[in-house]
Amino acid sequence: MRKLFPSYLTGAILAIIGYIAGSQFVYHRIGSDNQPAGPNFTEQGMVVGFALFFIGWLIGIGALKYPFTWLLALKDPDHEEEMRLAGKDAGIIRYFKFTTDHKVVGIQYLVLVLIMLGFGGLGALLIRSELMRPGALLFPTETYNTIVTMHGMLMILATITFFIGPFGNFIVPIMIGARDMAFPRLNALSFAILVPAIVIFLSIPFWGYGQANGYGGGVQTGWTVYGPIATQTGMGMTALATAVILAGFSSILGAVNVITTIITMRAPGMRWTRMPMTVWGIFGAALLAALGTSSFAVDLLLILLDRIYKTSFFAASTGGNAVGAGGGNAWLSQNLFWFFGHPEVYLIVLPAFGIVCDVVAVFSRKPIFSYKMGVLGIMGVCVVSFLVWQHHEFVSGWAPELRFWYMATTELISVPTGFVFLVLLGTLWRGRIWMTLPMMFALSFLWNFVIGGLSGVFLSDVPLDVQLHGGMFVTAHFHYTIVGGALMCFFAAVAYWFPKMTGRMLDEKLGWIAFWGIQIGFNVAFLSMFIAGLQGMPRRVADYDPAFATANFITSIFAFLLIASVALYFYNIVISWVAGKKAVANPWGALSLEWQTPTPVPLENFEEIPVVTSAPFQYTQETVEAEAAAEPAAGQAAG
Amino acid sequence: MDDASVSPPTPPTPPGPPARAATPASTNHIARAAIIWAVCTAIAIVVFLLVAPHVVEWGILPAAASNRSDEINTVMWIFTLLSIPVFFMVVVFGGYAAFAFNRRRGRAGGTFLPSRRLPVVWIIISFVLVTFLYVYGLSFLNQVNAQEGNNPLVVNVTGEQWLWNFSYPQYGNAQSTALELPVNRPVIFHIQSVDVQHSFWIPAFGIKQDAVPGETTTISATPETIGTYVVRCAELCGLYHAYMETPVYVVSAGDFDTWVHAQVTPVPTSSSSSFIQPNVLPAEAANRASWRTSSVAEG
Ligand SMILES: [Cu+2]
Repeated sequence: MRKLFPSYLTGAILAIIGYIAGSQFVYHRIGSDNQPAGPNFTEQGMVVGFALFFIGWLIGIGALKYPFTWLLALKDPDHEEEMRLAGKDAGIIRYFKFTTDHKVVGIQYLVLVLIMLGFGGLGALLIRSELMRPGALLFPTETYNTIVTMHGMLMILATITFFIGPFGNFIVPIMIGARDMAFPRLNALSFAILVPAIVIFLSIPFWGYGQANGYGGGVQTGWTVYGPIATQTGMGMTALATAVILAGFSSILGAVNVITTIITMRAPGMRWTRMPMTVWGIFGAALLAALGTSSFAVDLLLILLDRIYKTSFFAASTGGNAVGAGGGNAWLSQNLFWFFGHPEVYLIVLPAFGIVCDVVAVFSRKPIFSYKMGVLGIMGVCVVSFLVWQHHEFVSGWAPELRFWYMATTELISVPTGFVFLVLLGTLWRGRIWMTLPMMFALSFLWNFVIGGLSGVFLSDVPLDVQLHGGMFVTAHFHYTIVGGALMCFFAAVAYWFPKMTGRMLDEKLGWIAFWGIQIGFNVAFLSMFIAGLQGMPRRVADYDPAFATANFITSIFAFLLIASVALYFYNIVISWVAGKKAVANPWGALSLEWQTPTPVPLENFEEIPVVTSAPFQYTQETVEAEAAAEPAAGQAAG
Repeated sequence: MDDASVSPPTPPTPPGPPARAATPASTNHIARAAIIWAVCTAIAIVVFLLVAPHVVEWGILPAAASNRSDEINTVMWIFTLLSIPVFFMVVVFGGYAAFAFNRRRGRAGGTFLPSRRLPVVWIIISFVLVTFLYVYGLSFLNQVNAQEGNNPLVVNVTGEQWLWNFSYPQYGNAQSTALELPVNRPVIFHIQSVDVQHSFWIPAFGIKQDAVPGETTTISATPETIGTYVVRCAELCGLYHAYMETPVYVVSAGDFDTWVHAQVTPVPTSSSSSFIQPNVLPAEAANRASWRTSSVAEG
C-alpha cells in the first residue's frame, strides 16, 4: 500500500481536488456573472481549474518533490536515491508512477500513444460513417464538427509524440551508448505533463455542449483553430487550448532533452557520422519541436485572451454579427498556426525517414547506402521546413506577392526528400532481403510516401492549389504522408523494437494479415478521396453533394477495412505483449548498440560504456555469407 | 522465425574493410528493372492519355466553365505526366529489389556500394525536375495574378454564417443570394466576410479565395460556358459550413441584363447590415441545399 504514495492514483486524487478548488475559487471569489463586455468568468474558472488540476497532478505523483528538496536543502540526491527514483526493484508499479528510467518512460509513452491513436481512430470511424452517404446520417453538424476537430488534433498530438516519445526515450539513449537521458527527471516530467493534457483534451465534448450559443458547443473550428471562429465557438475551445498548450510544454521539454542527450551523451567513438539514421531523424524532429511549438502555444494563448478577457487579436470589427471588439486580423492566426503547423508535419515524418533507413539496412544486410546523403536529406528537410508555411495561405489573400517565393521553397523541399528515397533504393539493391513484418511496413512506406509526396507537388503549385486547397484532395494528400508514411513507419518501429522493449516477439502471422488489410484499406480509401477532391468536394463537411456519393462510399468502406486492420494490429500488440514468444537479445541480427544489450535491458543499460569503432550496420560480404551458411537449408525455409 | 538467433559481430569489433567489390553478377539487374520501369511508365502514360479527355464527362473533374479551368487542367496533365515516371522509378526499383534479392532465392548477398556518380546524377535530375515545375508553375502564377481588363463586371461577395450574398455595384447595387453572371465577360470578385473566415470557391471556374473579416480580397475569372454551377465554402466556418453553397448561373448577356435590372430594388435578403439569427434549424439548412440534388448534377 505504501508503494501507492506517491503514484498516479494520488496524482489523480489531487488533480481532481485541484480542479474543483480552482474553478470554485473563481466562481465564488472572483465572479460568475458573465457580462458581454466583461471577462468570461465561466471559462476563466475552467482555465484556473485546469491549472490547479495540472499542479495537483504533479504534486500528487511526486514530480515536484526533488526540485523542492533541492531548493530547501540545496542537496543533490545521491546515487542510491537516483536509482530509487528510476524504479529500482520497484516491480510493475514503476510504470504507474513518476519514474525517471528512460525505458520506463518509453513504455509509458508507447501505451499512451496507442490509447491516443485508438481514440483518434474512433473519430475516423465516426467521420467515415457519417460520410458514407450524402445527407445527415448520424450526427447533427455540431457533433460532427467537434469530432472532426478532435480527430485532427488528437491524431496530431499522437503522431508528433509517437516516435520521439516511445522510441526517442527507450531506444535512442541505448543506441548512442548512454546510461539514461541527459535530464532523467525532466524526461519523466515531460510524460507526466502529457497525461493531464490528454485528460483535459478528452473532456472537450462535455463543455458547453447542448447549451449552444447559436454557434455550436464542443469545438467547431477544426484543428487549425483559426481566429476569429475560435473565439466564437463553444466552451470546448478553452479546454482544447489549455490541453494543447500543456502538450506543447511536454513536447518542448522532451525535445530539449533529446537534443541534449544526442549532443552530449554519445559513447566514445560514436561520432556524428556513426549514429544510426533513427538518431538523426529524431534529432531533426526534436529541433523542429523545440523551435516550432511555441508559435502555436502563442496562438492558443491569444485565443484564450480573446475568449476570456475580450481582447481582439483575431477579430476585425465589421459590425453586424462580427466577433469581438475589432482591430485584430484573422491572417495573424493563420500565420501563427502554420509557422508551427508546417514544421510540425515534418516533425512527424523525419523520424520515419530515419527509422525506415535503419530497418531497410538491417533487413537488407547492407550498410546504409550513401549515409551522408541520407543525413543531408533529413537535415535539409529540417531546415527548409521552416521556410514553407505560407503555402497554406496561397488563397488566404495575405501577401500574394510572396507566393512565388513560397512556391519555390515548397518545391525545393522535395529535393532533400528525394535523397531519402535514393538511400532506401540503394540500400535495398543487391542486399539479402529478409521479409519480416518491420521490413514489409518499411517497404510500404516507399509506395505510400511517393504518392503523398507527388500529390504534395501538385499542391505546391499555386494555380493548382487555388483549385484544390481546402478540398478533399488536400485531406487525401496529408493522410498519404502521415498515415501512409509516418504511421506505417510507426508500425514498422513497433514490430522492429518490440522484442527489445517487451522481451517478446510480435506475432508475425497476425501482423501479416493486419498488414495487407491496412495497405489495401488505406490505398483504396484515400485514392478514392483524391477523386472526391478533384470533383470539388470541400474538406470537413458533415454533408455533401450527391455528385460525390460514389467516391465517398468507396472511401468509407475501405476506411472501415483500414480501421479494422489497425485494430487487429493493436490486438496483436496486446496479445503478443502478454503471451508472445519470448525473444532473444538480438532476434534480427542487427548491429546497432541497442541489440547488443541483454533483454530485458538492465537499469543502466550497459555495465561498461561501449567504445564504438565503426559506422552503423557495417554488414560485410563475409559476415553475410557466414550468416547464410549458418542458416538451415540455405535460406529456403526462411521468411 | 526459426533462424532468428543469428549472432552478429558486436559493433565494438572493427568489422574489417567495407564490403569488397561486387561479385560479378550473372544477371544485369539494373537493366531488367529499367526495362520494367520503362514498360510500366509507357503503359501508364498511354492509359492516362486515353482517360484524360473523358474525365470531365465521367465527373472526375468539375465542368471546365471558365478561362481558369483550362489552365488548371493543363497544369494538372503536365504534373501527372511527370509524376508517372517518378512514381514507377521508386516502386519498380524497390519492388524489384524486394523480389530479386530476397534471401529465399538463396542468394548469399551482394553489395552495391555508392559510387560518387549516382548521388550526383540523382541530385541533378531532381533539381532539373523541380526547376522545370517551378518555372512552368510561375508562368501560370502570373496569369492568376493578372487582373482582367476589358469592361469587367464587378461583383461584391460577402460571406456570412452560412450563406453568400452578392451585389453588383455597376448595376445600382443589385443584390442576390444566388450568383448570376453573363457569359464571356471578365468578372472581378471583391470578397469580404462579416463574421469568421470563409472561402469562396467555384470549382467549375477553378477559383478560390478566402473571405477574411475586415479585409477585401480579390479574384477574377471569365465564365465561358452557359450553365448552372455552384459556389462552395472551403473553410470550416462553424455549424452549417457543409450547407454554405449557392448556385451560379452563367447566362447570355441579354438574360443577365434582364435579371440584374429585376434585382435593383433590393429584396430584403440578409446582408451585413441585418443581424441574421445564427441558430438556423438543421431542417432549414438542409432545405437551403435541397436544390443541389436537382440542378447541379452536371456540375
Ligand atoms: Cu463558410
